[in-house]
Parts: sequence; structure tokens; C-alpha cells
Amino acid sequence: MAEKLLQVENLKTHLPLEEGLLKAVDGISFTMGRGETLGLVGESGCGKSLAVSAIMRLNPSFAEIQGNVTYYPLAGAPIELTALDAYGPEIRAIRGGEIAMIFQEPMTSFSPLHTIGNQITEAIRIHRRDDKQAAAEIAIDLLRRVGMSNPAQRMNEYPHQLSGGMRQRAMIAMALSCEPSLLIADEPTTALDVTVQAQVLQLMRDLQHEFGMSILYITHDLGVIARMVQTVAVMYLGRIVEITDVDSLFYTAKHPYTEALIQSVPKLGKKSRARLESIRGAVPVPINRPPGCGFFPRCAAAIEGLCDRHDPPLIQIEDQHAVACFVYPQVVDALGDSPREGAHHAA
Amino acid sequence: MLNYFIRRLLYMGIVLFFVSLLSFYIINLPPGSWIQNYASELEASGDIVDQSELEFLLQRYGLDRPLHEQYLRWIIPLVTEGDFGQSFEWGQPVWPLIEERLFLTMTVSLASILFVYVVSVPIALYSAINQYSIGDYFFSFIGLIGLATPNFLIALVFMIIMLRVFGVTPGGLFSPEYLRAPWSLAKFWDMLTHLPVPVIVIGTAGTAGLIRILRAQLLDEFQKQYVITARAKGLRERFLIVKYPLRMAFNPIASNIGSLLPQIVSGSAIVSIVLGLPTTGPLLFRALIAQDTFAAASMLLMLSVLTVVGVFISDLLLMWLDPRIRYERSN
Amino acid sequence: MATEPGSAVSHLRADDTLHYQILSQRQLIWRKFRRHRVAYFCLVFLCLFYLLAIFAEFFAPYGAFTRDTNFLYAPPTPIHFVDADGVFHVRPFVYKITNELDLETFQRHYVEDKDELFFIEFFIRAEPYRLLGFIETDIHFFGVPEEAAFFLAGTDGLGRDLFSRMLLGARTSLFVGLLGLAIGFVLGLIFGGISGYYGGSADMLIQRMIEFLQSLPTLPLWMALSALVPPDWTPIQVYFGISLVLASVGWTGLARVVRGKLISLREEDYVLAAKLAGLKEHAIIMRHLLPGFLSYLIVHLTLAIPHMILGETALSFLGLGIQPPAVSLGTLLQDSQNVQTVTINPWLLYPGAVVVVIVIAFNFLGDGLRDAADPYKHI
Repeated sequence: MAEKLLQVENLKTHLPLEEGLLKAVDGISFTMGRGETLGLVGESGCGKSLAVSAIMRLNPSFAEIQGNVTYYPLAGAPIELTALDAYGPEIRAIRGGEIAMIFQEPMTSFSPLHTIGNQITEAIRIHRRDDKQAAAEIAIDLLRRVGMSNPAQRMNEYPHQLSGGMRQRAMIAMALSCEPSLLIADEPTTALDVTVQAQVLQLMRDLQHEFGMSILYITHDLGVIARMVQTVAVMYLGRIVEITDVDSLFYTAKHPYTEALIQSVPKLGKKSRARLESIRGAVPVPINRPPGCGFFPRCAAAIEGLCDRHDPPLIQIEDQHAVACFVYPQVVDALGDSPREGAHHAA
Repeated sequence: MLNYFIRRLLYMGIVLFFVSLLSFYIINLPPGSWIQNYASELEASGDIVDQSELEFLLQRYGLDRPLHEQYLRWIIPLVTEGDFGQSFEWGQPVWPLIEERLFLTMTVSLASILFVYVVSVPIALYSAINQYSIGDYFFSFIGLIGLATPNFLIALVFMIIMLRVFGVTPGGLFSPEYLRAPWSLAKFWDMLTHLPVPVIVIGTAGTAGLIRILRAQLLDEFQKQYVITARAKGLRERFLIVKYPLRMAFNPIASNIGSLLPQIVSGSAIVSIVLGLPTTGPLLFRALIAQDTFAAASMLLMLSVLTVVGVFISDLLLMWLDPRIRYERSN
Repeated sequence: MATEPGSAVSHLRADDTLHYQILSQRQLIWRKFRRHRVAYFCLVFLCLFYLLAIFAEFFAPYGAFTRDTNFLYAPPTPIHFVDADGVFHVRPFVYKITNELDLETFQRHYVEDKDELFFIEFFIRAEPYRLLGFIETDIHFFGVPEEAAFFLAGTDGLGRDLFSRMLLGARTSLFVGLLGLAIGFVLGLIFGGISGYYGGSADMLIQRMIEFLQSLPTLPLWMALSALVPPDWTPIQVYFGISLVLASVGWTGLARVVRGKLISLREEDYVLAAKLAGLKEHAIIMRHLLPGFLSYLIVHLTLAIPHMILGETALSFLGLGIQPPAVSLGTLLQDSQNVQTVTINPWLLYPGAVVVVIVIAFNFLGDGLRDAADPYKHI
């Protein structure tokens, strides 16, 4: 593994709602190396967006965050992000500068009342050079590199004058403006047309090579995962149920949920009369969640008396392949080793 | 842009035409007229009715003619010569009668609007940032009472407090010595010292309303994606709030003038009656009761001009503030 | 983010198996509303207040026009539990009030005669009246024997009990508001409906009309319209007249809400889906559009009532609204137009306090309903 960049350990985001405690993110762990790409995949509502906003400390103020997120900068000591003041100067130096973020909705991510140039140079002036002229030059250069025509003119335009694809390019330019070490892309192409999607993805790949940064992809689109990332973590109901490299995921998926997810993607060129599979049921809302595997009510391979009683821990069962499912004896064994783990969750 | 401007002016003209028509008809709708009342009053008191004077008024304004003809005889000189007609009750032309009062109405209204904005923007900002804090609850509560209390009642309570605590009867816009004096710097200063009480009384409801709107708007904006984007850039919280959500919230503030202005002009009418301010309110009230047609219709029309022009200005302001609206309208 | 909008599904605690609870839209709204304690309290309060107003004659110890010339501008009668000898009584009582004329200032002073003590009696027989206009009775909710006087909120310059008048006045004001609202509601629904559903030039015309009405200064317009009400009309006719005046401007806001909602809902995918499924137009309106904005309409109506009440109060205060001898909270406040008088007899402002309390209650109720109307919105 490359030099460590980001380590997430047992991260939890709990939202105390009127209806009860919503365990949106319920203890996830993963590690990213410098220059690596990790994909976080799952259905909408599985907690993936909240997980990354916890890394950036951007979650709503009433959310309760537990666990550790450690960032390893190029120079200096590792920084414990969850320990920082969410509005303090330390996290602000990291936001935009070390870790940048691209959001799902290019329509609403820009303020409609300020020019594109104004909003891009803002970040540059905070993190790089507080000089209007120099910042504008950097911004124009970036707009050119993300493939916008007439970048100097675009600087003075308002978001509503750009198309969705162009806005997302501007968003990418803004995120890259301070040459971050880690780029978090939260469903960057979901709101775009398919053709534009392909262009933006290609652009991001090119830019990754150019800038040498790590990318954390959040998506529900397995196609994007296949194209863009090396390692994949599958999330379901606030937990990571499987984590492996991208090839293993598509060819030897272990978790019933991952299998079902892959089954439910239409395949081109495969002449088959088989019906497209779908996963029965919907993702339950994890409010006052009962113990047991979250996928239990929807799972075809569920083991009565086991899966609905205990939380399956995430266990490495092959090289670089971990899964949280009792179908695998290693996972059941792991439960026996640490019965307190299950008891803890059930409490 | 110019196109829009011209269209808007044209539209304003049409609105004012309808206002003049509406006010003239409404005032003439009740049975009887000032002339009739006057004649019967004189008769009752045993005076000899000066038929020639009545006859003159009848002739001049065509009061024996159909209503639309009367309207034309009023509106045509008004538009062409600025002649607002004759007040029956005061026995003199309307314009000199209302000229100063209109000016004072405008002054009081503008000062009230200024008061509303100066007070409500910081309070709303504070309340939105410190949502559910004690201060937030305090201002919400005060605002609610301000919103729920009719402003004539606030005026009354104000006067009672002044009378009880200071032993003075407040009221009016001028000290007695300036009441009939011509305008001078000293008189203007005297007016400024008298302004706060009516301005606070008139502005309370508007302030309370705007705090509510603005607070809700700000809270809404705080949740918007572009605020999170700005935060993700590493912007300082204070800077970010002023640059994005507050700037955004100024749009509804600007467009709010449209509804605030009629409200302020309304409020100033009744508050003026209670506080005895020399604005158009009390005069309009008397003219309506006495069926003093031209005076009442002229004042209604002029008050509407005030609000319609105010709305127009707020519209221009909105265009200046919001590039989206500018874009939409220049195309 | 983590919760899907529209997922009215939650796990039940203390149940080992997965269990879903599905609530209807109405149940969700009611649940959410109940949680808004202040609004719920205001709803209960307003219901009680309306009951009080409907049965005003029963709850009022005196008639609205009953004069007691011994008590002109009498202050509120103090209620006691402990008598002059320090003995505690479970039942509240009042002392007999006598008045003295101060020969220097020519002002009346009212003093308690501590020798004569009268308990406040409930369901006491006093002045006869007609309950709801047709049940003849003379039972009042509370009162004191005839020899004594009990003015909960003092008396006015003619020696009439202000508390009784306030109850009757509140009835007028509350129901003028409702009547005006009902008229405005019908107008708003018709114009807003046409505007929103048909669009085009009808929409354009109606919108210009609304803009026109909204740009006028309301109170002067109301004043002019109220001056239309002929002086020889009966109180009932005046009542309707004033409601109409209030509704003349009030409907515009409602029409805007209806139009806005209709337009946005018309574009919703589920309406298109219903159309594609072959549903008839009226079925779409009744089954899909109406439930979509009914809650908003109720919220808007709730918030429009205080406007009507404030309008009536202002007009009547000026003498342009409800005309005496009819009583409304506004006409009661006419007595306080003279600042000198109110300063000496501050209880004359009590009707104003009633207005404020009612309006605040309606505002809280509206706020609570607004929050509840969107049951999927968390926090």
C-alpha cells in the first residue's frame, strides 16, 4: 500500500430525531493511500453522503459524531479531524486546501448571485495567494484545463448562464484550484446527462493523473465504480458490508447484497432472456434499529436465528477482500471470538 | 432592459388610471352628495340657501351630470393642468390643502421603512444564527406581540405612558410655534425630533413581520447547497454568512417593499388619526365621512401613486440585486 | 440524505422482529401537530374562546346594554378569598362597592365596604336573555346577588359592565373575521383556481387584478369602502357589509396561494402519471391535487383570520366599521380614543388585550399547522 493519506476508524454519525436515534453511519472503517481511488457505493439513504461530510466536518450541527478520522499531510504530524472545532481555523485550512469536495447538484452548488470567477478565486485567495489578479489568472488557467471555452469570459458569468455540464466543470475547477491531496466527489455525475457524464468522468481521470491526488468517489452507480476506482467499499444501512478491489467485486462478489446489486445492473451485449433482477423491499430507515444484519429482511440467503440476532462483523476472508455476512464460516467464527461485539450492538 | 422599463412605466400608468376610476366611483357610490347634505343642513338651520353658490358648484363640476362625465371633468384637468379640483368642505382647491400633508405622509412613511429595515435586519440575522437561543425566543416573542397588536393600540399605549410618566401629551409632528411657520431649517429639525414616536408606532408591525420573514429565509438559505460548498472551500463562517445567505435574503427584502409600503401607508393613516399627525390620514378620514368627493378621491389616488411608485422602485432594486432577474428581463 | 423523503416507515422499539408502521397523511399531520405544544394549546384555547363567545350571554353576568348609573367608570372589582377578619373562604367573594364623589376634583372614588361580603355564585339567576337567540332563560354562569355589583373588567362611562360587553364584542369580531374569511375563501378559490388551472389570458388578467388590489394601501381603501355602508342599515346588514369589505382585499392572498400550488402540483410527475392512467379531470383534481394543497390552504386560512379581526377592530375603532349600539372589540375601543380618559381608566384598553391574545393564538396555531402540514420535513 502507498503512503497513508486518510484513515477512518469506526466512524459513526448518529442523528437524534424526534422519532428516535437515526444511526445513519454506524461504525465504518477504511484506509486510503496517497494517490489511490476508493469508491463508496450504496443505495441512496445508506449513509454514504453523511459519512464523507463527517470527514469534512460539514454535517448538520445536531449530528453526533464518534470514531476517528486521521488525515496524514505531506509535511507535519497526522491530524485528527474529528477532534477539531467544526468552525475553527484548523479544519478551515484543510477544507478546500488539503481536502476538496465536489457535490452532486451543480445547479445549487453555486450561489446564483455571484459570478463563477468570484466563487472560484475566493478559495484560491484563502489557501494560496491573497492577490486578486494572481488568483484570477490561476482560475482562468483552471477553467481552461477543465475544458471550458472562453475561460476569461466565463469568469464574469453567472451560474444560470452555464449548462449543467459546464457548471460541474466549473465546480471541478473550483475544487482543484488549491491542488488538494484528496478530492471527495459526492455523486459528481448523477445529475448530468449520460454523454456529459462520460466527459466529466474522463476529465476527472485525466486530472487525477495530472495532479496526482487521491479521489474518494461516492456513488450508487456501479458503472462509475468500474471505470474510476481501484478499491470499492459497499455500504448498506450505515455499515460497510464488503470491501475489496474493483475486479474482485465484479467477478467474485461475496456479500448477498453486493451480488444482488450487481445482478440489478443491465448489461449491454449480453444476449440473455433473463429478467433484470431487482432487490425486493426497500432500504429500511435505521431509526431505533433492531439488532441483526440490516439486509436480513431482504436477503435470500438469510439464516434464521443468526442473521436476525447478531450483527455480522466485517472480516477479511481472502487477501484484500473483507465481507460482513454469516454465510461465510469465518464471519460466524469471528462472532464466537468476540461475542461482546454482537451484544454491544444489540444493547 | 429599456424595453422592460418602458413596459413597466406603461403598466404603472394603467394601474393608476384604474385607481383613479375606482376611488372616484367608490366615493360617489353612497346615496346623496355633499351638496345635498349641505343644502339640507342649511335649510334645517333656517339659513337662506345661497342658491347661486350651489348652482355654481353644480355647474362647474357637472354634479348634476352622469358619473362618468363628472369623472372626466375631474381627471382631465388633473392630468393636463395638475388641478385636483375643489374641496367642498374646505371651500378651496384640493392641491394646496393636501400638498404639505402628502409630503409629510411620504416623510413619515419613508422614515418608518428605514426604521423597519435598520431594526429587523440585525435582529433577524442574530435570531437565525442563534436559532432557539434565549435571545431568539425573546425577539420572536416581542415580534409576535408587535405583529398582533393593532398599531392604533400601540399609539394609544404610547400616549398613555407619555402622559402618565412624563405628563406630556405627545402628538403632532411639530411644536406649537412651528405649526404655522413656513419651512425652515429649524422647523425641519423640529419635525425630526417629533418623528421617532410615530415612526416606531407605525413601524412596529412591519418590523415584526420582516423579522419573521427574514429569519425564516435565512434559516432556509443556511441549509442550501451553495452554503455547504462555500464552507467546504474553507471560508470563515462569519464571512460566508454575510457573503451568501444574507446577500440572498436581501432579495425578499427588496421585493417585500411592495407589500410593506401599502402596509406602512395604511398604518400611518390610522396612527396619524390617533396621534394627530398632519398627514393625509385624518384629512382623508374627514373627507370620506363628509363625502368631499374631489378631496377624498385625490388623496386616495395620491396615496396609491406613493405605493405604486414605491413598488416600482423596489422592482428596480430587485433587478439590480439579482442577476437572474436582470437576465430574464433584459431578454 | 439518510432518510428518504416519503418514507413514513419506522421501526418500533421493543419489538425484535422488523415491524413497519404505516400512517396516513392525515395521521402524520395530526401527530406532528400534537407535538407542537404551543400550537396545540392555542387550538384548545381558541375553541374554548369561541364557545365562550357563542354562549356569551350565559357567561356574561350582565347584559351588554344594562346600565348602572351608580358605577360610571368603575374599576375592576377586586376578588377576595380572605375577609377583613383574616378568615379564608374557599369560595371567592367581593365586597359591596360604594362610590363617593370627590368634591374637589369631581371624580368618583369607588371603595369597598368591608362589612358586606357577597360570594360569587355560579349558575345564578339574573337578567333574562335568549341563549343562541331562541332559548329563553335567566341563568348566568356566574354573578353576585343584586344588592352587590361585580365588574370583572370595570365599567365604561355609561356604567355598563365591560367584561360582559367584551364577551359579546368578541363574538362579533370573531365571527366577522370568519365570515369575511369565508367570502374571501370562496373568491380566492374561484379566482385562484381559474388562474392556476387554465392559465393563459385568464391567468394574466386575474394576476394583474390581484397585483392591482395588493398595491393599494389597504386601510384607506377599507375606509372608503366602509363609508359606502349606508347609515340606515340594520346591524346585521352592516355586519355583512363589513365582512365584504374585509374580504375585498383578503381574497387576493388566498388566490395567490391556490394558484401557486395548483401550478406547481400540475407539473408533478404523479399528476402526469394519473393522467396517463386515464383518470378523469375531476378525479385528478379531487384525488390528487386537492389533498396536495389542502393543508397549505388551511394554514393560510388560519393566518388570514387575525388579519380580518385586526381590520375589523381598526375600522370599528375609527367609527367606520360595526356601528354602536352593536358591540365589537373595535367599537369598545372607541371609548379609549380620548387619551385623558384612558389614562385615568386604563381598563378601557382590556378589549385591546383580548384582540392581541386572540391574534397571537391564531398566529401560533397557524405556525404549528404550517410545520405539521409538511410532515416529512424533519426537525
